[in-house]
Amino acid sequence: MIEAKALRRSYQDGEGHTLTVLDGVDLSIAAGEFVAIMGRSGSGKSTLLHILGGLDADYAGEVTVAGNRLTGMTDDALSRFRNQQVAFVFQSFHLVPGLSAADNVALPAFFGGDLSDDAVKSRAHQALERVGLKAKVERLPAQLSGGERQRVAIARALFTKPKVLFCDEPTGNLDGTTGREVIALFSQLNAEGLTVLAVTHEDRVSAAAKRVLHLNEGKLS
Amino acid sequence: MKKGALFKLVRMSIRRDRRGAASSIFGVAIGIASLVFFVALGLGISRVVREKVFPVEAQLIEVVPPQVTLGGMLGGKIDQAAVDRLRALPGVTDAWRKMSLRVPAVSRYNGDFFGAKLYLGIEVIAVGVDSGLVKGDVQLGEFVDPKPGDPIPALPASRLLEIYNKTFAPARSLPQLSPTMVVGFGFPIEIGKSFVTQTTTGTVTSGSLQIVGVSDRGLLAGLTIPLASAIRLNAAAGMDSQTFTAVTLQAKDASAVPGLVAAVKDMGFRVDDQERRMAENAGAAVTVTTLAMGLLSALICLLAAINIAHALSASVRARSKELGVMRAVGASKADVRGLVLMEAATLGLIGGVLGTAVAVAATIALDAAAARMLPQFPFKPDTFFQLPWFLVAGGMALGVLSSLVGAWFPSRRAAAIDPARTLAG
Repeated sequence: MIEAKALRRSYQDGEGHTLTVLDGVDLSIAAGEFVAIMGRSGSGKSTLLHILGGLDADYAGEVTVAGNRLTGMTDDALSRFRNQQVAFVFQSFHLVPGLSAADNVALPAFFGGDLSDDAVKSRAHQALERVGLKAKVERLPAQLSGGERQRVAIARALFTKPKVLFCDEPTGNLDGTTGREVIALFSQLNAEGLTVLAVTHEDRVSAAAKRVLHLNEGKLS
Repeated sequence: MKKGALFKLVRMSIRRDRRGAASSIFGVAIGIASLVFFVALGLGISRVVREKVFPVEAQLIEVVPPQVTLGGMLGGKIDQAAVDRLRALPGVTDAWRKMSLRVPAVSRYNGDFFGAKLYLGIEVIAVGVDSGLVKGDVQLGEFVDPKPGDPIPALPASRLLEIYNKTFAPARSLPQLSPTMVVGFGFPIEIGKSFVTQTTTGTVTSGSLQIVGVSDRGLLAGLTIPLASAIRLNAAAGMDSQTFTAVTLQAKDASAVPGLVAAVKDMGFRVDDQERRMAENAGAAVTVTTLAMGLLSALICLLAAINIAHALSASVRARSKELGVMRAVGASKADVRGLVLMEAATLGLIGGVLGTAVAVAATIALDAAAARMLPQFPFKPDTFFQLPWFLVAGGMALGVLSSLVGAWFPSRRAAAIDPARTLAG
């Protein structure tokens, strides 16, 4: 499902020095896996996730996700890829403040797909029901708790029925109970066949994963 | 991006920053209102100048004899042979002769005048013209020299009627007259007589004139009569009845006029373009003033665009994470750019519609105030403004355009947001 070969990614720091955060990373994840990538803060976990998810195209190496060769893709093609093939869950939820929970969930449909308005509404409601927020479809993000916001973000990720779910520190802003509920939800989705790749420094997330990889000094082990 | 989704996001964005949106809309509305108002005023005043004060037809050329003649080879008087040569010039579709009534004449009127009592003595200034020149203006009978005893058909100029209505009549409690009311009105004339005694000729003959319409193609400050009548009266008084005062040439189109003017001058004649020049000068003054006010208004629109640019730049900065999320779920750069541009276009459209509405309301209010508060004066129009559809539509379009100009760079900045960097952490 995910193949990465010889991935390299460097940044310029404020003083003009080149920092290499990914230094020849090779990665292979099969369909239906739940993989956790762990590493200390600043080790390049999020960078790797963004490259694999098509958010960052400024790298060297080869990446193929769900049969799509991302390397050399145009920006428009990457946008379609993100819209139809994969989904993200972020630590800070990243909901659109002015949209209701249902509209936040349906946000991918704003930019692609050929669902009718009724189908979009119906699917958004189903996704919210799936994460236990059926009664709060019209709430704005500010009217929801942190755990509820993350569940809306997960519902948004499920909306397009993606092939891969990328999670960037998904429980970082959640308390223990809510974090466990979210991790349980990921496990359940994985059990239903969804490929999940989570980058985290939390043991409770890695404990739920079927495979754990470590990123250290630009190398994956 | 789907249209419904785009409108939903635009609506959300405007609602969220109502104060900023109101400020942007206000700026655009002020610019568009002033622009539409001043252009409408300029067009309105131009129309008054063109149609009422100096009614000049672009295709007509007034040929007159030179002020100084150097013999027959270099122009001189306009006789029938000269008229024929002028008519034969390339680009001329018609030529109409004019001959002044060269004998003095007066009218003494004592009787009923449209319901009022009028006692008036007035010098009559008239010019005879070929009937073809004024055929479109004659509303009663034929414009020909009448049988003995019948009234001579006469056409006053609309300018004369305007001066009567706005200055002469109010001061003397006389009725206001419309162009149709005066048709058929008859009054006496004494040919060969003048209130200036030295110019009275030996023989005075009595007759009458009858108004048969109103025309601006003859004498603007007097009466226009049939050419044959002028020739007959001049001949009877022993005056020159062979040469013409002027010839009006009709060019095939306005573009042929400059060439014809040159040809006429080569023949040794002059072109009387005093009216045209006055119209052009007045029109130019109005145009320059309108352009100046339009430029000022355009500057206001530019300021509105800058205001929108600032507001949207701040908005894009504040929403960078939100725009990053949209990119993460599949928005392309074009989607993000389109979203920001659509926000600006919406603000511009609202501002343009409001500004145009304010301008239209202002023109109506000012016309009403002018009708009520300004005294009557010649050529006072019913409206000082002209609001053609393209001005109304253009005002709204300019509101959108100025907003889009202001949104151009913010939209590019929004499209350039790096979602990976924005959403990290």
